[in-house]
Amino acid sequence: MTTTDLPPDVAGGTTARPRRQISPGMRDNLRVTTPLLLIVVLLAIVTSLYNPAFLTGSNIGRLLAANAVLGVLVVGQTLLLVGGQLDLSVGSLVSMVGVLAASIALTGVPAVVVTLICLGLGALIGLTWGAIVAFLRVPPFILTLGGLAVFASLALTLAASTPIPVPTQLSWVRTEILGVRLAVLIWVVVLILGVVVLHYTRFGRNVYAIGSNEEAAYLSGVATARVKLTLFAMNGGLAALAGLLFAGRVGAGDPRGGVGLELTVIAAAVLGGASLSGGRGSMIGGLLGVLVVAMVTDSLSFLDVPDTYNQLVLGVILIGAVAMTAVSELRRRRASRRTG
Amino acid sequence: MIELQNVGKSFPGARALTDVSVSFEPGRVHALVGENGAGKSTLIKIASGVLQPDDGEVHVDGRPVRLTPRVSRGLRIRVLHQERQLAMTRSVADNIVLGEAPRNRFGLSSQRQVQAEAHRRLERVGVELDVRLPVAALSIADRQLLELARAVTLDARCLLMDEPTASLHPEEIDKLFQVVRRVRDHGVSVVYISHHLSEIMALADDYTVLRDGRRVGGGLVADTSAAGLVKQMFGQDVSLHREDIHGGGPSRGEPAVRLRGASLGRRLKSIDLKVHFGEVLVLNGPVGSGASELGRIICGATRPTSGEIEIMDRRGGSRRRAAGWGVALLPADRKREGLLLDRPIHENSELARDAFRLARWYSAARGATRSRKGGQTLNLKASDVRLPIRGLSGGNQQKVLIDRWLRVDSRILVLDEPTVGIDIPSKAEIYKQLRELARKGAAVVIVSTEYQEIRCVADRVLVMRDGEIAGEIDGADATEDRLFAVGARS
Repeated sequence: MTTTDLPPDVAGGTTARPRRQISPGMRDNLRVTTPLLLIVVLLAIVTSLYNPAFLTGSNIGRLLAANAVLGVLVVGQTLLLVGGQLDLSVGSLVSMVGVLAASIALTGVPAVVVTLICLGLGALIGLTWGAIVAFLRVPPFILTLGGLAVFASLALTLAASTPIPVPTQLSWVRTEILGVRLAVLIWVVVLILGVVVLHYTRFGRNVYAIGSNEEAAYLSGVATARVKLTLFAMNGGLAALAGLLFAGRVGAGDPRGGVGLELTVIAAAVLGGASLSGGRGSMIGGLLGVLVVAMVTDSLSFLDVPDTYNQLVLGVILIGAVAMTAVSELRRRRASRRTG
Repeated sequence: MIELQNVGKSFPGARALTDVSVSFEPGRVHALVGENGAGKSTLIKIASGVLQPDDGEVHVDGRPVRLTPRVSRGLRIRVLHQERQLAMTRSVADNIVLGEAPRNRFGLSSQRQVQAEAHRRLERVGVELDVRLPVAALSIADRQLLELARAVTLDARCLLMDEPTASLHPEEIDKLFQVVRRVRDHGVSVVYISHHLSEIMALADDYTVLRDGRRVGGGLVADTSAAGLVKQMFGQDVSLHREDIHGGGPSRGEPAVRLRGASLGRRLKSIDLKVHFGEVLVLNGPVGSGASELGRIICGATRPTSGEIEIMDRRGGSRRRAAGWGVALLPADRKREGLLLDRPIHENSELARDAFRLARWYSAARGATRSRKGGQTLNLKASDVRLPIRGLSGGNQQKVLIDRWLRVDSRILVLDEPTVGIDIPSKAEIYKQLRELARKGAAVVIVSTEYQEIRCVADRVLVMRDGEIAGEIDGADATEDRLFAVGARS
């Protein structure tokens, strides 16, 4: 009974597509990352034409060090966003961890212990978010919005509203190895780990699956609750790490240091191709998102633009990026629906 | 009268329509027939002005027109969308008179007037609905009738209906047909797309067959038969007969799944059941009979409120545990519960495999290679497994989902309405695959309401009614009449 063998030309229209050299997934990534790369390069050229000091080694080092906090946070947030989750509490967690680290260190506790306490606390907080999201099915937006308020208030209370100077044992963040700030090295390591976890493990595939269609993932045997717990715990730990880096850089546990940071983090991740509805995004995209944010802020100051314009430029870029993604998405859907 | 003359349409990389001529006459139901991707929807979009043809012309009442959505609305050409377009929180009455509510002399519209007007309009097309209910409280079928009524009361001259029965029960379909016939008798020309040839035979007056974007046949429905339509649609005979698909008697092996007194609230009442390796067991029964729920309990997706379940002599637990033992589930709602629509085909077919041993390395290239191989054995038609699965036809999507479970050597498969919205040749292929799996020793459980499907694949049929097993029939005896007789309240 071979009566059902279809001739290849009746194959739902898919056979008509041309073969491509690079894989479609790679093409999607390039579609997101190329414009970002162009922005970064263009800004670098323009700014250094105006002020040659911009593209010097020391300035690039300073730029990277200044954005290590953001970079580390974006790794965690990208993981969450790809999995269809979100954590708005990272900004005030950064403030709180900074304050906490400074106050504990003041009592003479060695730096290693302080660091471990902070990282553990961050992971624990993340784990709590994860448990509430996974088992009580509370939307992470509202939940972590509550967390944002709680930590912000705790940070202010703990510090009695004034920055606590960081004692010497926490200044390890500013040490340099082969001329590179330790903070930058940590960022690079975290980023590489993020790339491996998201793109080269089955865990990473499950994150994409949950973000794309949680029900389908669950019915196929994906341990959706466990994956979500892990995601939030990782993000919490990374946020605590970012808090330590931040306190180390500014030399104080500033209870207002992380105000608004969560929005910059999400903006950078979304610039890099992540979507608030999940299932989309990449680590490299997130990195480029951070670089764009960093370059815009920095080159504006080099171009003597008043820094009140920072947010405006970033906002415009973000809106442009989201609109561009939406347009190409519409086109793609239309193309794939064409045979219907 | 609406005429399409020699229309053609291309999309980047694909030719959707070539030189198609067809005319839709008033007072007649015209069926568009063709498999997925044959160009039916494109044709409807051109007739409603959503798409403009590259070649050819559209004539309305003998005059050439350039249709846009606006122009077609002005010409009273209405489309009944697959995705329903109703204001869910508003009442039936509000939806019917939407935007043109009767006003009293103060320029205000009173609820009573609106309701009376809505009632009058519904009566005209023979639809009975409580006009005060919010749309959200209506069944899908009633929403469809409401939409139909609305289109007609807006003085439609031509009604375009794309798969209107996709989610309706048989009785609801009958009701819909009555309304459509009434609409036709008002002089409206109805264009009707459906996968179900029986519907077309029952409802349509004229038909046009499309294949690969070309018109390959057409005429009066009275002059053809369902088999004739199939032959024109595919250019070949496709057999959906038990003799050609089933291929031999059951070779029942060990029990694969055992249920003892499994209950689910009031929806399932103390079910005892054994599923054996090597058999295809069909659970038959309408929505509410418990057939679908029983399927979900067998694969661990739903936990029974009481009773025991044993899978391969181990106590069943969560869905994840069952999946780990290779118990497959292919849900009825593929888009919502099965597919990662925007992810590549190979990620979709690897999902169950990737769900376990999370620390293992992942390689997209190797996954793609495996998917290509799996796709070949299932006769999957896809140009590149790295493209999003969204672009595949329903039949090919379902093959990917079968492949997902073959990848983890699944030996127990639960399939809920496995061929809904799938064209006939793909159905035949899927049936043969399922038989082949059973022959190799897998236990296959199919929840199905489609008689032809049951006839083709079943070894054993359990007919469900009100949460209980009403009777068991041997697959070879499972005629429509027998199934109906057992399922009917005695």
